[in-house]
Amino acid sequence: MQRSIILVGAPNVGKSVIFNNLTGKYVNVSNYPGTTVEVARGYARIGGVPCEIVDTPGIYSLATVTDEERVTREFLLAGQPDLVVHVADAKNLARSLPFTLSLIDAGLPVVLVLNLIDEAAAAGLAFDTAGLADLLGIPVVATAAVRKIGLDRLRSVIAAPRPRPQPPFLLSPDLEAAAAAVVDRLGARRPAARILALLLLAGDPASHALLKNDPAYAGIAAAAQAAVARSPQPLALRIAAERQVQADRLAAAATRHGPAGRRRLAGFLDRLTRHPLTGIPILALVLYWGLYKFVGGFGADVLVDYIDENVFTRVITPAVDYACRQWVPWEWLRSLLAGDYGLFTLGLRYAVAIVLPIVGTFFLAFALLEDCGYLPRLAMLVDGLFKQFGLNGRAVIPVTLGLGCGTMAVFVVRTLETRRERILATFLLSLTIPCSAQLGVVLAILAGDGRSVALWAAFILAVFILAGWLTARLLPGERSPFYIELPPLRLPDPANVIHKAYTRMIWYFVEIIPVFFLASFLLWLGDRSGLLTYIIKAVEPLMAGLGLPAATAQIFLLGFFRRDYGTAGLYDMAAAGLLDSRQLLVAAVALTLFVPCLAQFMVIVKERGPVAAAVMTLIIAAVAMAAAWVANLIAPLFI
Amino acid sequence: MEEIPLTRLRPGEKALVAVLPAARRDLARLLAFGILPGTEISILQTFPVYVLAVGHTILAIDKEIAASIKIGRP
Repeated sequence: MQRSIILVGAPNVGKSVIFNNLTGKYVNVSNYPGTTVEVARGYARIGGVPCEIVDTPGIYSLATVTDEERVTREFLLAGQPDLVVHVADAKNLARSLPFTLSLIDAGLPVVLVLNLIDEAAAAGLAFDTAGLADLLGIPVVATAAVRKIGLDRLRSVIAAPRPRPQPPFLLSPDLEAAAAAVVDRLGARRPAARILALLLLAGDPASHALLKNDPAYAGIAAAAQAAVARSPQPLALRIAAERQVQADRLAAAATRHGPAGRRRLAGFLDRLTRHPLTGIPILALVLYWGLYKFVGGFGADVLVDYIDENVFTRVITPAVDYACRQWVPWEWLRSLLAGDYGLFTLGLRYAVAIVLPIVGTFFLAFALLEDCGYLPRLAMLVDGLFKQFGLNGRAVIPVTLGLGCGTMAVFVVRTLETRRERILATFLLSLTIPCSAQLGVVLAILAGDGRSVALWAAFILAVFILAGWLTARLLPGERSPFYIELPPLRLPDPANVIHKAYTRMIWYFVEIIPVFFLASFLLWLGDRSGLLTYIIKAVEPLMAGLGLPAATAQIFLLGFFRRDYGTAGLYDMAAAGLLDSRQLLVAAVALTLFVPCLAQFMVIVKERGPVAAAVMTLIIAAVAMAAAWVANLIAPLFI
Repeated sequence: MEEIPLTRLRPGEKALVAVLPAARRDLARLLAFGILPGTEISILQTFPVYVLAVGHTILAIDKEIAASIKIGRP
């Protein structure tokens, strides 16, 4: 019988590192709150017992706010796991224990893992895990997962027979009486009835929503309301306060204080990165070196040229050509494989030679920033700006990730709290944020002229700010409060960084290659049937209105399949010298803003719904054309 | 004891939390971070957002949330 094991805990506590060590399988190991995009599952034999291990999005408590957090809660309260492994940051034991207590309260078989024990030791903290285990009645294991300390002990605890659920830690009599009254209405046999009752008393909207359609809901809500009315203070506050008293007592009994080592350098860097006077210049340096130099320069220039010239132009393209001429008697198949829109010449070459090096370098840079804990600092620095767009600093993570891959970024938008924020962020991402493939190609085609790059950047930034400001006003809603935990700056673990970048690239490749081939195939089909010529003819007047040559029409069509695909076509035209600098600028602006690529569009449909996706795409197409028209008018003033 | 908004504190000052915001969402978040009436917090920074240290946790919150937390001053 396979055992189901669920890892839970707050963000930044090393849950995913533990998951990787237990399963050896992929998960997004993140140092930023909320980037475990989807729940990761792994399978392993632990101490001879076959186990399915699930890594869940980070949560601080069972009172959830975002959709992502609700996923974790569902796993816990509806999934009936065989074992719940609560991973906590040892330094913050007193803060983590209330969650452990509520898991015990839910009748779940719990193991507490005190991770980052090395960081705690540096802060002068030591723990009596055996004593704490006695007090809690559950196994407690101390680990330093990145250094592989304590993991064998954790494995043996996981392999041991399922621990018996413990009796709950009781609150004061009046709260217990109120909870009992609600449990009575819920039916005591319902799983986790007691914790559900406490959440209902605390006014947790997700718990109320869960029971809305239950025939007994009216009675349940009435019982909860009666208790709320009797209490002079909000019950959420009272329950949390009593839990914290229990947690503080337990933590105090289990913690030994010693002299703290000083981490002068980390403390110094911590202050530098979050103070605006030094933080903003550091942010500019990070963008310049990480994005412009590493991704734009090394990835888009050096690597793309190398792979395109040495691998494709010299080896693969001639080989495919030769093979087609030798062994493929049918002209239609030859053109499908190696023609202008061929699967190899267009699909594979664009994916491998142009897009992969750019996206790969971006994911490497992003993983580095993520792993060292820099991203939350970025979020706090830009909070003020993003508030103007109806968002808050947290949205900087999907937006920055969008500079890598817009499709992935639209997934990550689900970590934002309100529906309004998710729509605003998706719109801004789809309209204004160029993905790394586009960025790389745009930088490459405008590279001859620093002024063009500056103009392009200024124009896109202006559209970003204007569109953000306008949509926030057209789509009014409640304020989105900003709060984020700043994890300590940690030296990135190279294995972790490479693992993260590598797994994202695998995700990207699995997602992108089929779309590239599909796009190639559709274009080939359109070309053979004459439909493409017809559509291109129809779009040409539009191009003329933007002062662009007719041939760019084809690029805009390519751009619908993938934006980067379109810009890559522009790269070919620029290389052939078919566009002057004004036309290049206008085309670069239009394609940067133009409708999201096919993959991103499909994710928008999935995440935001077909209506929102269709409306957004129409608006985006119109705005992109209008902006390109304006760019065409004002470009002569500068160039 | 006088109760004043947290935004009246300057970087480097310490205080005990007296009253938490009434808004459910803000309250739930602060409770999850272990901030309760009686919790000692120290202010590390006040711009562009408020940065607080609570035990070994460092937390950034915007000015609106900071203003809705009242601290006790003897």
